[in-house]
Amino acid sequence: MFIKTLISKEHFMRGIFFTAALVSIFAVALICVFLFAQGIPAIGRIGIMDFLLGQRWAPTAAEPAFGILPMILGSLYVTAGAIILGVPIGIFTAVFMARMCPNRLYRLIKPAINLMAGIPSVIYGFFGMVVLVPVIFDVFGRRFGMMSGQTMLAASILLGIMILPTVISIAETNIRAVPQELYEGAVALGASHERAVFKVVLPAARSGVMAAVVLGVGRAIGETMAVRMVAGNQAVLRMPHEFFKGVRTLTTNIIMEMGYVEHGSIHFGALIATGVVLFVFILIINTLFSILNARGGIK
Amino acid sequence: MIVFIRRRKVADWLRFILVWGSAFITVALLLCLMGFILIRGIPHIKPSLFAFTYTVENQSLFPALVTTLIMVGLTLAIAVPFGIFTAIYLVEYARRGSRSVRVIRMTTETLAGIPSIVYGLFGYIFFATWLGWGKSLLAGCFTLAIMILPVIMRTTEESLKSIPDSYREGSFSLGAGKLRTVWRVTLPSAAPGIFAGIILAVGRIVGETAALMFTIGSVIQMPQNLFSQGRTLALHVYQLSTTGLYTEQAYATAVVLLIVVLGINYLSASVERRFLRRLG
Amino acid sequence: MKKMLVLISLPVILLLALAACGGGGSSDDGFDTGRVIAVFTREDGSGTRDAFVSITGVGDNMYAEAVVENSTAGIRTNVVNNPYAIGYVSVGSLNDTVKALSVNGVFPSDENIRNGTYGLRRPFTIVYNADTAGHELAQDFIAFMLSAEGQDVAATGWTRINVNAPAYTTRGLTGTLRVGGSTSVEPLMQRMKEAYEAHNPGVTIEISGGGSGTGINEATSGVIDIGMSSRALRDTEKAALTDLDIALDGVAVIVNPDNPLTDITLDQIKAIFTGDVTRWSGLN
Repeated sequence: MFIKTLISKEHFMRGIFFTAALVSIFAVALICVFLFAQGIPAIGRIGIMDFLLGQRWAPTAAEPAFGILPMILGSLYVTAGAIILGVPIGIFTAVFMARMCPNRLYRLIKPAINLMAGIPSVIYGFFGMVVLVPVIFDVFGRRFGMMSGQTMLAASILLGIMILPTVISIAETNIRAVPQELYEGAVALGASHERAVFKVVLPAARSGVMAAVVLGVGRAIGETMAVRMVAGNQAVLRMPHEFFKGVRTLTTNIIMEMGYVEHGSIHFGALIATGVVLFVFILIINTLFSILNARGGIK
Repeated sequence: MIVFIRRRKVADWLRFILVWGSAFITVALLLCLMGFILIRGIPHIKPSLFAFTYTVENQSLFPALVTTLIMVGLTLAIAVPFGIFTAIYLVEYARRGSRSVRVIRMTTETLAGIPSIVYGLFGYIFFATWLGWGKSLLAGCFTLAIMILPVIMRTTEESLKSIPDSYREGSFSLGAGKLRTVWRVTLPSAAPGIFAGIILAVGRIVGETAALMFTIGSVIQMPQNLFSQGRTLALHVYQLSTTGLYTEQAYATAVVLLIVVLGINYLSASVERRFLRRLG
Repeated sequence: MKKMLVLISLPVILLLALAACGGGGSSDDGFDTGRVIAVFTREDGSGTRDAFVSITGVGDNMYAEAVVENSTAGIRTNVVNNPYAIGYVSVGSLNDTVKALSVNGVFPSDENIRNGTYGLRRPFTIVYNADTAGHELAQDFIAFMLSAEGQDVAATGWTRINVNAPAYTTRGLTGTLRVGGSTSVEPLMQRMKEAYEAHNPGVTIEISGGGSGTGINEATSGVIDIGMSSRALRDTEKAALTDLDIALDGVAVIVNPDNPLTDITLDQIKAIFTGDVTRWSGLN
């Protein structure tokens, strides 16, 4: 009798744990269903080609247009810029922390990086708007006939800073995971410390470092509040070399206009659909990340 | 031969500079950022910022602080049980590498990657509109709960995994059942690690804006009930800065927010250190 | 691959170091009229933008290169930081860090906005549905806003809609009201709420933002009791709602204090904001 209740209790709790585990699946399903249910009909009404490849975004004009190509490209540009600026510094800092940092310094820097990850994006945005934007305007404004410091460049630099903690901590974990024998072997063969780290350890951690970069991409493409304050937000189609001009990203497109739209209007649907496009981007990035992880990164 | 050696040295020097320089820049950037907020904000911190109500003459941050605390409490109350139970299932019950584990892990990673603005949209469509809760604390809490679920789940999973199997075997050999082992042995040993994860999640709640803008509203008052609108500190900083009338107060509020974040970070670091010492 | 990394990162590191801690030190050689006009505008759907483009005749032809900000502060911060900037904000949120221009020789003073000689003005409107029309507390609050006391509040930064308003007498009501909508009207409403609550201690008024569109939607559906709008109602919206103006607000055209300009014509504003004129020297 006693044993029987014990077993049923075991089973019961096992059931509870299992149900809890299903919640994340349920949440993802809900998010998909509700975003797609609101977004897809709007895309249908606008026309998928006009939506994804349309170059004009004029939601309140007499003849409204809902093309988000400028925003798709805008997101890609600032993300690429953030990667170019942030990833090298991030990876080298990770190398520093994993292999070159004196122990005492490490105890100071590690919390600093954690803090950097914890600072709210509003504060990054403030900093960008009041420090970064004027500096860029002062330095390049006259020479390039710039309108303002709110540019693709400003957004890229700010995002480059914001992805640093993500890139650093993942890259550091993966560089540390490289077996010590590899490093020692290289040094035994006569390589200097730096050479051993750069030629042996870093290549061995390659897929893990790539995973860090991919996660950085995810962070950059999804950032909203900070980008809104420094990017200029013009919904104009840009070329990659126009980094002294402003752009609007997918995320800022949503946050800028969400407060005004009439619920259920096509404008509302178009903003949700912008979120859907962003969501699909993130899904692609996540898939990439798990492939890289599976290829012998972390764990 | 000599040339070769010298070139190698130059290359090493370059690498050395590159690595130290990068680390220096990272730290310098953080210091610039914090220095900027502190210098701009500290002169405007006054006791009146902590008055009980917000008025036009006195932009008190106290209601926002209280709202933030309520949000943290409620969100954790929703997310922590689910996060911990999921981790227990994955580590203690499920067969490693089974299909269900793979699917759950994949969805958790998906959740972790979704940008907060998409959570905001979802929360607005689902909790605020479809369920009819309106923009409210409740809608905000549930939105954030989904958002922090992966954080709690992952850290719990890691801490449970780091508990040596000998603990469990010892418990089994003394005749304890699985549930009892989990409840009395594994979970308590992993508690500090789980706690560190929870603090990390608190940090995310405190710093969040994009997901809350459309789900919690912007009323700057002591919340009356769960269906009241409210403002967390981060949202308050944003709103203060956008009305354009209270930039100084926005900086001061940002300093308070920064201090809260610093405190959370310190707490999580010390908890984690203690956990590692205990295991090590 | 690695050499590339090194090559790319060196200049990047320099640039970042420069950007992070540089700043200041720009040479000050007066206002260069050859520079590009930095045009700042509000986002699509903003009540301020709505009023601005319809009065100036910019309409749907807003200069595509204009930097878009979704807040008054965003516009103002940029105009403070950028000597070549021009933007427009509610007169209620002007301060001495920026310079408001006269339009066609008329300064946006309280007097000029009220009598209409300053053309760039718009009403602050409240809207409510049939339920609120029969709601005693809501009607009392509305009566307060239109009373002499309420209009005194309006004059603390905005412009009275009625200089001969009747005095308000409290009826000692209690309860809670929900008000929401336009972020331009919000600062005024916050003051109205505080003044009203001082007269009626038993009343709590909750104010939420979200924008004019949100206010109109939520007032229609009854989520809030009173909606705030800084734009005129569309015909489709008028059917279910009553609208009332509670104050006037001027839209000020602002430039940096270093800009020698003090006066601008409506035609010049239109030329700048449609992108026909892109340099300050092109104005004359």
